[in-house]
Amino acid sequence: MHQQQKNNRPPLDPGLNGILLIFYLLFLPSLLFSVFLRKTREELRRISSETRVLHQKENLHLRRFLSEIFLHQPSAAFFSPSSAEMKQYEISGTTLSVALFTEVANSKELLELMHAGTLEPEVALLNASLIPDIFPVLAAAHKTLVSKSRDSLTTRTLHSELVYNYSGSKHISESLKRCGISDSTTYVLIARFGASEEELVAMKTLIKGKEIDLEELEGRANKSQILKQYKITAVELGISTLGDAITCRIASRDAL
Amino acid sequence: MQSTIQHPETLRRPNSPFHHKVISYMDTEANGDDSLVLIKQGAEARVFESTFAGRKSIIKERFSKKYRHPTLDTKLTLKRLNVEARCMTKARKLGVSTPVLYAVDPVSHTLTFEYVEGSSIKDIFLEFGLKGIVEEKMNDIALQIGDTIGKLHDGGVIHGDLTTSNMLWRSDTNQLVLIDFGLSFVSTLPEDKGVDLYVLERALLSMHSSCGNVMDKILAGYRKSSKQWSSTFNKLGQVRLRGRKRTMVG
Repeated sequence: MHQQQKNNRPPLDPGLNGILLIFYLLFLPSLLFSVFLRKTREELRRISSETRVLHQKENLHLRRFLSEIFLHQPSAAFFSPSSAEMKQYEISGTTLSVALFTEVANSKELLELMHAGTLEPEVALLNASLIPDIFPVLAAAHKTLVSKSRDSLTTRTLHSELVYNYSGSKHISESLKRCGISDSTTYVLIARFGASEEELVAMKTLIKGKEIDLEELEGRANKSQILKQYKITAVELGISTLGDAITCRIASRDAL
Repeated sequence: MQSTIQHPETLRRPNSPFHHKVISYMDTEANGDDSLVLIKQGAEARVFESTFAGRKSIIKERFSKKYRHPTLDTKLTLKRLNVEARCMTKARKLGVSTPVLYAVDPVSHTLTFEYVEGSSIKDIFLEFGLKGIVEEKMNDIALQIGDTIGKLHDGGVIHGDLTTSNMLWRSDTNQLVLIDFGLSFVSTLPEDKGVDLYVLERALLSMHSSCGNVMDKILAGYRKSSKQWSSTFNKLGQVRLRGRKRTMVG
């Protein structure tokens, strides 16, 4: 009997059933899933915002500023695909492109260009024999970017500020003389904030010298000159590396 | 460690109706939590874990106190921030191991320094109290504490808050690291040095009485490294009799 009744149904009916079946099988679970997902997300967001409100209660703007600086903090250094040796570091959301050159022949011209303010692109040229490790340079770069974001640069340009900050001293002209390049400097570290692809190429052509890997910084550093410049004693070297000692001086300069 | 999580393109399924919501949620929340994690909150400052130029770091933020007069508050906060930075670097110059200072920010009242891998002396001593003392390690630690304080005092730096929780044990080199120089000052008076040692003695008595007489071992280490130990020890004896405060006025 039942069999016969089913067979008597109008031809539209199975089609409708099929559509309903598809609806139940596909649409309903995904609908439920989306509701579930939204609920979980709201819950998570509520919890995290609650904890954050607790933490933020006292200093809301401060916290915001902090996260601005530290949220996009440098992760590991990554290798630039455009060049073999030039490295890029990310600091406070800005990149710092760094390359090391030896046997530099045109430091006199570079110096003249820099004094005239026509160096294109604008770069920081550091006396690399005072750099035993890249980390203090990054600390100085961080300091530079913080004062740039507050419009409180001590020197005229962003890149001269990097050289000045690296020196760890408050004497500007002396710092630029010692940590910057002179007529006779042949060993140079070049650095630029937020360099574009074209600028990276321009940076390399600017210097007439042999590009070497940053790994060589440690071996080529002039230790006695560093000890003199940063007034590092033998006692301190017993508990600290040269790079860490410089970093401390860069960081604490304004507190002294 | 990884502060900026790069979401692989594979995560972005353009056909899924929820993909942008999920991804944007992860972008904001996951990153925020990853880069600045509160690990301790004290009366004077909050301590966060973060990264600085690719290295794991600690951020110490001195917050303003609403109950203080605003002028006094900014003055005190800034003074303590600068004092801490100054005394930490000075201690390093004296051969005392302290965390490497990465940045000082007088505007946001923050100090950023190296993350020291290891546990605090407080935790180590508490563990000794629970599981029994490892004599060799105990002697090493006590001797290093005495030696470190001796060096510090001979250089004219008074720590001001010597407790076992302000000392860390660097796990890879087994080296003592002093932290929290917020109450430090420069002084060569035996009185100040005596009080500094007395504060440590009281802290040890109240926290780690089960560890035996650590203070004697510390003083033995101090005696070896400090040239001015005798005047300091004399003062310490006087301070023990009268307490930390010099006069009973106020």
